[in-house]
Amino acid sequence: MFPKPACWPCRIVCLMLLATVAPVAVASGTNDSPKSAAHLKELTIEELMAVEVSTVTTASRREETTLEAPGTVIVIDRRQIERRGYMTLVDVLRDLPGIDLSPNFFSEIGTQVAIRGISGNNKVIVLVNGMRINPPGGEYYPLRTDLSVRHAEQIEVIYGPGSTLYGKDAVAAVINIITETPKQNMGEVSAAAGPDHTQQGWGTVGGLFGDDHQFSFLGHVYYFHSDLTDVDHHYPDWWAPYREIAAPKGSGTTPNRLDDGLNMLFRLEAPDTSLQIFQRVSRRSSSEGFSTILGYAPEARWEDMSTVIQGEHTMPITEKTLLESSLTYNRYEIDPDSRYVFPSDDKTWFYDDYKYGLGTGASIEETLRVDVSPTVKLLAGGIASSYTVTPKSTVPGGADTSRDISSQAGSFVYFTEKGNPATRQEIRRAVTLTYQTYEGYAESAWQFLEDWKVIGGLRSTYDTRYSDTPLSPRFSLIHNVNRHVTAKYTFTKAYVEPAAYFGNAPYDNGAILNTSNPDLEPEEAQSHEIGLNYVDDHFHCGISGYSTRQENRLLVADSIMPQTILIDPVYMEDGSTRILGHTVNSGDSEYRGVDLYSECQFGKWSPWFSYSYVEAAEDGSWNSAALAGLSAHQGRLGTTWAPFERLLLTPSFSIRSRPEAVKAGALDSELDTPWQLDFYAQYRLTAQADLFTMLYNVTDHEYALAGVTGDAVPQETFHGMAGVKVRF
Amino acid sequence: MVLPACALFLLALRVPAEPPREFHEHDIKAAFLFRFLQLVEWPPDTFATDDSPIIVGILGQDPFGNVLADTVRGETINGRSIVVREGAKMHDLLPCHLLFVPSASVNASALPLPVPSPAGVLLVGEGQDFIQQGGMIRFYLDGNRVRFEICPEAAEQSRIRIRSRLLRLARIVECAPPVEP
Repeated sequence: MFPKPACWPCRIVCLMLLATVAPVAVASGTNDSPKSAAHLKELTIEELMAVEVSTVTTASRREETTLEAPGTVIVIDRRQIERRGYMTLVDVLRDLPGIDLSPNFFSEIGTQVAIRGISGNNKVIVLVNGMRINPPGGEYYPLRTDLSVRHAEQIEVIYGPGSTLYGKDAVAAVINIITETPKQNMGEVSAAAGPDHTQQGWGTVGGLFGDDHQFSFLGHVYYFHSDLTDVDHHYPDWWAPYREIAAPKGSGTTPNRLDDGLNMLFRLEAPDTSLQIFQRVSRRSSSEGFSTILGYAPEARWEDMSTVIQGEHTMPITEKTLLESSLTYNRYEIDPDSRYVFPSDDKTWFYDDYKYGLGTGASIEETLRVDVSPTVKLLAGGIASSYTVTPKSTVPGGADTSRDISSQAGSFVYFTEKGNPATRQEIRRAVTLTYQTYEGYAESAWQFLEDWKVIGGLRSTYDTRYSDTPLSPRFSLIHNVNRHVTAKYTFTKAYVEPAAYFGNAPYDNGAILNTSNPDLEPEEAQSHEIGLNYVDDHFHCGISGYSTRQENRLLVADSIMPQTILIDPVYMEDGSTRILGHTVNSGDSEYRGVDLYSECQFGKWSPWFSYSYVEAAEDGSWNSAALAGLSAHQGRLGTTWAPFERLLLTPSFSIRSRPEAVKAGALDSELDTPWQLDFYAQYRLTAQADLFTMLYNVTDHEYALAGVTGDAVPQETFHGMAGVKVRF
Repeated sequence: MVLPACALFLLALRVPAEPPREFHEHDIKAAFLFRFLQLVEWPPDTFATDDSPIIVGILGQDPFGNVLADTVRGETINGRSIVVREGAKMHDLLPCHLLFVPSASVNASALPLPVPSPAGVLLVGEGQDFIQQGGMIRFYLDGNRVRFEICPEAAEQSRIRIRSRLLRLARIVECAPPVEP
């Protein structure tokens, strides 16, 4: 019998802590590896010149150790990526504390990420080498299999609001994927395949050139395809209603699913200048996350793509002052063949619900770094950005991208009184917005005593679309108790922009007719966090307690809350009714919880574990419904084991309590057991070649999590791949 | 209660064995200091006897924890053992052979360092203006690698000879201007 939620915290913590340290005790008897920090002295002085100091750059936008950085910072480095077999960012996030993933949540975003209770892929900033790759129009970040980490040197995850340095939407976390530093003539290629027609291939090349090797380049490409789990076979009770709906419509009753991802990165570096180009393309069934409401037909596809280009230049002004300039172009497009397929009547599917969207943004940023004194450092800058965004729009017949989208899309027509032509209203299906933002920020760090540091910063943003001018302050106090222990307190405020995506994305989903709302204001969040970290050569652990409050929340019309309803009902031209709704600012929510995590390296074992607890309130009322779709308790446990030199084995286990306030339907028992066991193995065949296998859900366990409609949706059962990796 | 007690007991038993994945800045600097001791020569009269130890002084708060002591423990250079001492003020640490001035000590009353520096004392530090304040070797970070700069003239004035192998790896800088009498 699965433990009841009340038993979760103590059982998970005890078992995982026991399991984490058990191999340590075992390893203590097999101390066959001679090196530690003190053994650095065995290196020659020339070799010491090549040893790297562990630092992060995302938390304060300057190099510092994780102990010096404000807030909670977790770093996944190249060694961990290699040893745990991480392929994409989703793999990495699955193993991190406080992060609640809902795969198959929604076709438009793939995996929904909630961090410390705050849901929404539009509230997480994703960077590649510091370059923001979120869609410029404020769309949810599409977290699918098209964001590779196989070329990453390290991934830095900064928990909590980060708007002071990163601006809009940095509410839940900032994630920075830092790519590896090119070496002379480096290269790596890999190919793998598995069941469900899974195919994966990737390659990285890099090199140095110029007289003194002062120039470098890095290129990376990653491809993934899978037909995904046959949900018809594994979840027959859940699939049964679909059979009834689909059978009379003549397109078959089996699911047509797929997951295609392509990711490319090119980076060129000179001593003071860099240029990088990032591109991703992804395609999935547009019916994911909607239970069995929509048609899993071959025509039901969602495809989108992003291209981000950034040039950076660094110029010393004085010995202690540096000016960094960057120019960034960001483009996000929904493929015009994307469409939803839903029942038109009892005998036919409706195939004409085509979608299209295009957002572009260009920004210029100037950042000044000043070492005011040996103990005071200042960072100040400004950004000017211009955006042109056509948010996701319905374009009957499919958009012709060479022509004006707005005129092709036409209008939704409705009547506020049935049969009264005088009450006729129109909503334009496609709206194109052009707007600008101007931002200024400054943050200073002052080490006022040998072991005390204070950080204070502020950002102000002016947006030509609304009157509010969000202020995003940060204050942090850091005390290095001793060389290994650090205590931190951090207060931050952040905001979510009233994105074009929320304010101007009219749609008709058969129940709701969503119209624009040009009066939206930013949603705001503020957070208090206290953390305690311990780091030594072999053991790293931390505990963080936090309280976050969101105000003036953006409630989308899908939620059908009283605040989002404008008129109920309105009448369409065919006589059918809809709820006329729009996105609004309303209410507040609070989240509080704790994250406990540790990681160690002992002998041939490198175990890690984490436990997270979160609770939530809406409009002052603490209840489980405020955590809709998320789990209050989560635990993770894994280890890398190297039984002999050439072999690495990494099992990992994640478990969580039943997601709150999810409509179970036929998946009630599956919602009760949301756990998964994964396994990665790597065998070094030669100095240049590895064989590997990455197996997800190795026990073929059937379980369910939340989908976008609030219904339970089934998760992938056993899948994976085996392949070869070659270095040259 | 049994499970947590077992877990904590096992935790207490842990014995490090695997190389660390990452090194802290001062772990690396400790190893550098050990190599510096091997690559410099002091005037013979700075040692009382042939087997007098090489004394390393750390001014102010010790940023190394136990790492520097662990690094030099049991090591000898030309038959001399190495001793690490800590002290709040420079005169507490003299005589010594290598004086390390951590960046946290930049406001210590010992600075600026006396120019010329005490004979036979290799002054190593990490503060931004350490060389201008009379230091001989200064650590700095280049990206995430530890580098060092050397003012050879200051070392010569103190009758310390720095070997070319060390000089080749350093950024050579000009020394502090002479102090007006």
